[in-house]
Amino acid sequence: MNTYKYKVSSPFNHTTEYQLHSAYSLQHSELRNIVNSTMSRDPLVVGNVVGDVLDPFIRSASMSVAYNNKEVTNGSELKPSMVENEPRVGIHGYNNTCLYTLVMIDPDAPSPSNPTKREHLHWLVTDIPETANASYGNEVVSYESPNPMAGIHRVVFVLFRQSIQQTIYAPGWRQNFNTRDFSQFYSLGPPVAAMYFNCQRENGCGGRRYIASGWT
Amino acid sequence: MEEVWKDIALSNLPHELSPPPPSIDRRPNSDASLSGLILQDYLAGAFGEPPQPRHDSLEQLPLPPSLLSLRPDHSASLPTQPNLTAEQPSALAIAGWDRRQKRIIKNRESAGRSRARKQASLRPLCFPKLIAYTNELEMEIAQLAQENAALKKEQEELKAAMAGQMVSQVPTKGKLKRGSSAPF
Repeated sequence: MNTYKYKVSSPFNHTTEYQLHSAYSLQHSELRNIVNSTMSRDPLVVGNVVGDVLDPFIRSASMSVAYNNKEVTNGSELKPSMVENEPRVGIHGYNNTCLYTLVMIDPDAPSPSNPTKREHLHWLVTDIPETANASYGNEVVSYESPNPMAGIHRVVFVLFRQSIQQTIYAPGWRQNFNTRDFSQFYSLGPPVAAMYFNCQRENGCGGRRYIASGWT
Repeated sequence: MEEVWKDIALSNLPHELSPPPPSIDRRPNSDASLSGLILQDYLAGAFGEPPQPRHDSLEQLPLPPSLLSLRPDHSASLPTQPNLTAEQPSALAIAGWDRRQKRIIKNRESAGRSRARKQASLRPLCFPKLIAYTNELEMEIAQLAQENAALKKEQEELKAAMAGQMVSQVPTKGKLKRGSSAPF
């Protein structure tokens, strides 16, 4: 019998913990369906991050991403100049023995209409303790600032909860990374939090440049 | 009905002719024979200047199948190339149309992405609504969790009750109880 724990943090900064016993797995999935269908206002679903990158999941961690002390809201747009240096990614909670893995990818490489290099891995940090931020973790793949050449790219942060402190190896290359496979390979389970922002070239989205976008 | 038979008869006449285009029955009645000949010439790749009457009826000609399937709206574009040979316009036109069609599809996808982006960024800005929505969800979760726990209890109780009943009823029903019959 599995027990699922939910932590829902409201904007008023209190967390309530609910336990659902899955003896009634049907009811659990019904609840999941309710949550997911009403969550169609969720930017992750609307922006098709759930679908292209992730499977539907239930948030059970609280992550905040801030570039230059400015917090990033889900689905907002940032310029390459604003995201040159790595952001401060904080994980809220109370249990600093809980470790997390952060993956930052671009599913729209080289261009959203022709994403042949989906996903491009920008950053991979493991063993981030809860209550701390990514600088306390182990940077497996160093931060590469997003620099889209064509179109408007989504840049996604995905957070996984590690059940143990595990060694995660850097992939051979950054392109064609697959978050789903990565999570399965290291038994990380479903993501516990995710958010994304949009990014395009500094001076406009770069139009339809045949070479850069790979469009023929 | 007669046009259909006329068309079939016409198509049987020239043996080298490729199968007539699918919408051949759309041709107007009066031009059946005339356009049949023209079609034959067209498909056989007639070079040289087309005669004057051909110029007019080209507009009514059904286009070759490939062009037809791709260009339902642009049936009038063929007359703009009367001077080219019969084979060249189809190759160029098809290539151009393929690119155009791809472009249209990509445009549609891009528009969809733009709409998604717009929706994704604007919705959360309704802050009070967001708070209310989150609260609603939390309440729903609480309610469902309670219901779940209650139902689970109920199920366990029922199970126990059933098990208890089974044990007490079935075995003792058919059994013959042995009373004491021995002297010791």
